[in-house]
Amino acid sequence: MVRRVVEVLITLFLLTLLTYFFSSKMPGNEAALTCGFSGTKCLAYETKVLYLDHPFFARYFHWLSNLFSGTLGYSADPTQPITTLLARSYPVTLELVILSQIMAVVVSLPLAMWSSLRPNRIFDRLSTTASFAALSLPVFILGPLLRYVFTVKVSAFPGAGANLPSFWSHPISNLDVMFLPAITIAIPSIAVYQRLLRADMIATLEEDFIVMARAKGLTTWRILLRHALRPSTFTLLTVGGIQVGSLIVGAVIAENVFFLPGLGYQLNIAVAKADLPTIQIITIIVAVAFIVINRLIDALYAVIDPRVRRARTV
Amino acid sequence: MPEPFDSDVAERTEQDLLGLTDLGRADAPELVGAQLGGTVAAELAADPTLRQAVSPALSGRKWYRGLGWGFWVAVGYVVAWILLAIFANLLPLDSPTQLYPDCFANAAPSSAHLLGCDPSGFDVFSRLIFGARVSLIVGFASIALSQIVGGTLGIVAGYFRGWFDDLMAVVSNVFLSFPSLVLGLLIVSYVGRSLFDIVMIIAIVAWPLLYRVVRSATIEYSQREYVLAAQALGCKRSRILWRILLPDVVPAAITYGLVGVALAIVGEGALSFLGQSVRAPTPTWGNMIALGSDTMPTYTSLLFAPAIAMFTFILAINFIGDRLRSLLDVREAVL
Repeated sequence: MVRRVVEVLITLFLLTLLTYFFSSKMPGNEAALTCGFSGTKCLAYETKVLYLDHPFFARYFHWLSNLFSGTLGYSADPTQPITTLLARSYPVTLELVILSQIMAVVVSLPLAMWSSLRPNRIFDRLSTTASFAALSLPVFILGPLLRYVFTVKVSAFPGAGANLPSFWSHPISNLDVMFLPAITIAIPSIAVYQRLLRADMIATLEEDFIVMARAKGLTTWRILLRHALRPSTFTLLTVGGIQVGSLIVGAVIAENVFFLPGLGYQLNIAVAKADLPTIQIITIIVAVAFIVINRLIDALYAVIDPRVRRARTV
Repeated sequence: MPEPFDSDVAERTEQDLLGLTDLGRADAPELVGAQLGGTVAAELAADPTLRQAVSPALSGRKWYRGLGWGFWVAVGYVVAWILLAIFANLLPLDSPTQLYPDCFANAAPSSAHLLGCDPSGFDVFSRLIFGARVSLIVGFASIALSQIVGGTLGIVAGYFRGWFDDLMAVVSNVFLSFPSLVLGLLIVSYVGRSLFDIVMIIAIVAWPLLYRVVRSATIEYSQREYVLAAQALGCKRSRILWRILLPDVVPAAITYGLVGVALAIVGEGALSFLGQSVRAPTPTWGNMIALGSDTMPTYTSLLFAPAIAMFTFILAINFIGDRLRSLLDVREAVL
C-alpha cells in the first residue's frame, strides 16, 4: 500500500515537472503574454512574480507551490481567471464522459452476451466485424460524419455549437445537445467492450459451473447475468484503465467537433493562442484524473474479483 | 518421454554446439530442443503445433500460407497509397497548393477537378493524394524512431532487469500517464509544427508503448530453455541479447509496430484536425477533414473524400496487423 502511494506521488511529481518543462520555454515569454503592450513596468513586475529571472528548478518549484495553493493566475485573456474557466468547462467534459460510458455499457453488454451465446454465427460475425471496423474509425472522422447525418441531412439534433444549458436546470435540452458528442465517443468504447467481453464470455460459458447451472435448469438469462457476467469482466477492467486514456482523447476531439465548451475545447483554444497557464493546468488536471481513475479501477478489480482480494489480504 | 530422436538431428546439434554457431537460432526448430538433451526434440518432432509454438515464424511451412485473400487485398491497398504518395509529383495532378480561379465559378466535381474544389480554390483530388504524404511519413517515420529508441531500451531492460528496468518503468509510466493527444498538444506548443517536429512529437508519445511490448516479449523469451542453455554454455551476454533474443522479439515488435503506425496516423490526423499539425497550405488528411467538417452543408465531398481515404487506410493497416498477430501468435496479453 505504502509502495503504491509512493509510486503515485513520484509519478505525479515527474508529471508536473514534465508539463512545466514542455510549457515553460515556449515561444512567447510568459510575462510578455500577460502584459501585452502595457509597458516595461508591468513586464518587470510579472518577471518578478513569475520568477522568470530565476533558474529552471527555482521557477518550477515556485510554480508548483502556486499550483498547490490554488493561485492559478489568469489565462491569456486577462479578464478571465483560470479558476472560472475551469469551473465552467470541467462539468461539461465530466458529463460527456459519464454519458458516453453509460451508453457504451448499455449497448455493449447485450451485444457481447448475444454474440457469446452463439459464437461464430451470423450475429456474432456481424457485430465482431462491425466493432473491428469501428476501431479503425477515428473520432475526428466519426464525429463529423454523425454531425452531417443527424444535424444536416436529418435535423434530429441541434447543430454544432448550440447553446449548452445546465443539466440541472434544463435536463432535456442539455441531453439533446450532449447526445451526439456522447455517442461519438461511445462507439469506439462499445467496440472495445464488445470484443473483450465477448472473448471472456465465450471462455466463461465453457466452465463447469455454467454447465452445472444449466443442469439445474436455470434460464439462459439468469445464467448470463448472475453467473457468467461477473467472472467475464476482469479483462475488461484491466484494459479499462488504458481505455480511459483514449476516452479522454476522444472527449477532447468530440468537444472540438461539436464546439462543446469543455476542457478539451478550451485546451485547443489555449494551444492555438499559446496560452501557457491554461495549457499547463488543463494538462495536469486531465493527467491527474487519468491516474486517479486508473487507481480506482485497480481497487475495483479487487472488489469484483474475490481471488485478487484474498491474494492481497493474505 | 524416452523416445529416441532422429540421429541426424543429434549429429547436426553436436556440430552446432562445438562450433557455437548461432545457438538457438538454428533454422530448424528441433535443434533448439535437441540442445537440451533430445527429449524435447522428440516431442517437437512429434507434435507440429508444439513446434510452431516454439518458433512460429521459423517453422517449416511457408509462413505466408493461411493469411487469406483479404490480407493481400489490404497489403495491395496500403502499397498503392504508398506508391501514390511517393510518386505524387510525377502524376498528372494539379498542384495541391495552387489556387484555381475556375474553382470559384464551379466548385462541384468536374472533369477538370475530379473531386471538386474547396472554398479557398484548391483542387481536392490532388490535395487528397498529396495529403497521404504527411500521414504516411509521420506514421512510418515516427514509429521507426520510437521502435529504435523504445525497442532498444525495452530489450535491454527486459534482459538485464535490475535498476535500469526500475528506472525505465518510472519514466515510461510518467509518459503513459498523459492521455496521448494531450501530451501531443503540450509538446506541439513547445517544439513547433514542421513535419520533422510532428514526427518527433508522435515518437515521444509512442515510444513507451513499444518499449513495453518489447520489454515484456524479452522477459518472456529470456526464460526459454535455449536462452538458459546458451547461458550455461558461456555465451557472452551481448551475444545472447543481439543474436538470440533480438530475432525472437522482432515478430512482436513488427506486429505492434504496425498497430503503432495506425495509431500514429490517427494521432497526426487528430493534431491536424485540431489545427496543430503541419501548417497550411500543406494538405493533410486531418486538416482536410477539419475543413470538411467546418464547411459541411455546402461542400460534401470535402468531408467524405479524406474521411473515406483515411478510414480505409487505417482499416487496411489494422487488418494486416490483426492477421499477422494471429499468424505469429503474438498474444494480446503481451501489453
